[in-house]
Amino acid sequence: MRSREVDALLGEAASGNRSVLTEYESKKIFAAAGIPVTKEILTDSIEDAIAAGNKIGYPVVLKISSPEVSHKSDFGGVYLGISDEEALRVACEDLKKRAEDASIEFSFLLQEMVDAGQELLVGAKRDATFGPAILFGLGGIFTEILDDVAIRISPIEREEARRMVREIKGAPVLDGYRGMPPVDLEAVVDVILRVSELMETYEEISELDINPLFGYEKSVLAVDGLVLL
Amino acid sequence: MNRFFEPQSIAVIGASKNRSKGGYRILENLIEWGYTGRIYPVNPQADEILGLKVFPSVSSLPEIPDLAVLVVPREMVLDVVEEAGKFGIDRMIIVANRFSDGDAEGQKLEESLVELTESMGIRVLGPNSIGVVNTKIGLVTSILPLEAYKKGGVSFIGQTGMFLGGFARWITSSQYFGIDKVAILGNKCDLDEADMIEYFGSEKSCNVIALYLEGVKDGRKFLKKAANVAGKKPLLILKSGRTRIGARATASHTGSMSGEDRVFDAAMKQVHAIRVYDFDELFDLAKALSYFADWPSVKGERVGVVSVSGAGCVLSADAISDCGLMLSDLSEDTIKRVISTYPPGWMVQNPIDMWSAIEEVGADEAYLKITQAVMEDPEVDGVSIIFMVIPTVTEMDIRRFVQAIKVYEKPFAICFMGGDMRVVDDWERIIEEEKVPVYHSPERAIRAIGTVLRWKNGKV
Repeated sequence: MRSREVDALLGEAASGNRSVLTEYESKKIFAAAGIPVTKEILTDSIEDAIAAGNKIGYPVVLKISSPEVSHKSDFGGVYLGISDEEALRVACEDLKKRAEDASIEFSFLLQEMVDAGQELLVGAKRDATFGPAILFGLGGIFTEILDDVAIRISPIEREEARRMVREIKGAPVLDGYRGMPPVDLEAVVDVILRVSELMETYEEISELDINPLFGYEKSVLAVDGLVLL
Repeated sequence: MNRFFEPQSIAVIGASKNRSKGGYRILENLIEWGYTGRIYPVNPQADEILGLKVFPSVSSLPEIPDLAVLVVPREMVLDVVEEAGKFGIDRMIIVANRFSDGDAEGQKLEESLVELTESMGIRVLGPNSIGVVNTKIGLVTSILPLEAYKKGGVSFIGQTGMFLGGFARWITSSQYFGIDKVAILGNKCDLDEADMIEYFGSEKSCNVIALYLEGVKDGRKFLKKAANVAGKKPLLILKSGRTRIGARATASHTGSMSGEDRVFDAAMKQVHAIRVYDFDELFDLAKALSYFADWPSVKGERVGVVSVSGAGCVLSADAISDCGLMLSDLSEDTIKRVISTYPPGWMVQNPIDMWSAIEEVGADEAYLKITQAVMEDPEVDGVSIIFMVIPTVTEMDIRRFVQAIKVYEKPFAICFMGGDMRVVDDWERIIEEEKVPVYHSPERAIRAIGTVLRWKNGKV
């Protein structure tokens, strides 16, 4: 079933000739699909950003939101652990200056600062031959350097998603390794199944990435992500 | 599909008197293979080829043949298809190439061909296909001169003609496994690999399906049809073009980590197909899976090794580990039986280095007693038996040995490391005639045994 909200977000990007959705838009889509995402508010002015920071509650995270910036950290547009209103104002001024120096259109994205969880990655890519391929791995160096991922072609059944989670070499990490709490695997499986549904429902999505998905003992949370048309 | 593979009658349109032409060779092959149906050569300029009456046109045929093979140049294909279609023929193999595999004009011709055949309800194999084989009825449509295949359980699906070309000669001149059917897909303008998997999957006479593909035409259809065969018949897949698309920079991590080949690999695993990486492996596994198709299922993946060579023992153990299999932990009773063939004071374990036993009791008794003891151990699921055929070993009665070991119905392979090739060639024939696979390296033997064990315990 298509949702009006997702249709609107995808339609807006398409009509703007954008193939990469912003983090804010992407996470709206994830949330609409039933994937837990961080609390966040998008604003256009510093005053609104501060009001949003107060509403979310400190510490907060400030990120640049712009269709022209897909690698926010590389751009220097991510401010973690902002502890109060004063610090948020300083961060907003800094972000504004960077964006104006680079002469790009931008907004302020305010997010709750969440506890670090086990970094996970759930992604999907539409393969020209087989259709949507769904990918799962541990985040960070596990995926980037060790290339330790499990791939399935959608649609995926729950049992298959469970096998996928167990298939990676780093699977013992999910059970709680060296005093780390175990990860809520059923919640991870839910995310995989919802990503599979998203890809089956919205043919205009060519790729998506939830990276990182934080895994906790009793939940998961999409912290950053991208949707590509 | 029945009329492609079990036609009662075939028209060869473009039959030729010229011995070097494809239109002659098809007829020659059909006669040579003893095709049981009726053959109708069509050619306006000939009246008799190879003793067969030639018809000047399709419309002059005495009946509507089940299948037509078109051996005419691409420029004539559309007209001939239309004429044959109007006459009532609705199954055609189109041999001509340079359609979508050729220039822009060929591409256009193929589009017109699809339009025409769809509108007339004609099913097509090809173009650019040398067609089909069904050994049961001596059916062969290759334009290359072929010796008849032995009947058996392996069916091939090839994108290109190699299973009815170079490899056909190699199989008939050096291999002993039998073949059920072959389909050469060519450009797949209509029928594709998924259709063939479905059909071969439903054919009782076929027990292994082996594919060589350069690409999959319709991935979703392929997965659906392959999933239906999964678990019932082994599906071996060799796909070329693995490295064509290197990693490309993309915005998402997923994009860079799910290249075309990884997705293909995941797709094959999902339908429990067995992916192989070269033709040697394809044939190695195909014959083993076919020979043991009717043997009972196995519990595990525990392998026993009986070897005349110490190197064979160690290489086998490494291969067992590399393939993710296990070395059998032989029981005390088995060990006792094994060392009864050795000089006093010997200790053995799996892999069993049996040289001293051969010296003690002779090759016949050593091989038989030791292998029987290993086969009877419940900790053993499959066995690799390594021979080095040198004087004294050459005196063995190999047929009697293989027959005695077959009764256990536990998958096993015979491996020859070196040896007197005049004897080895002879033994290989004898062993393979008993439907036991022979290999010439310990690694290939273990890989084959491992695949059979995984197939038989449901882990493929």
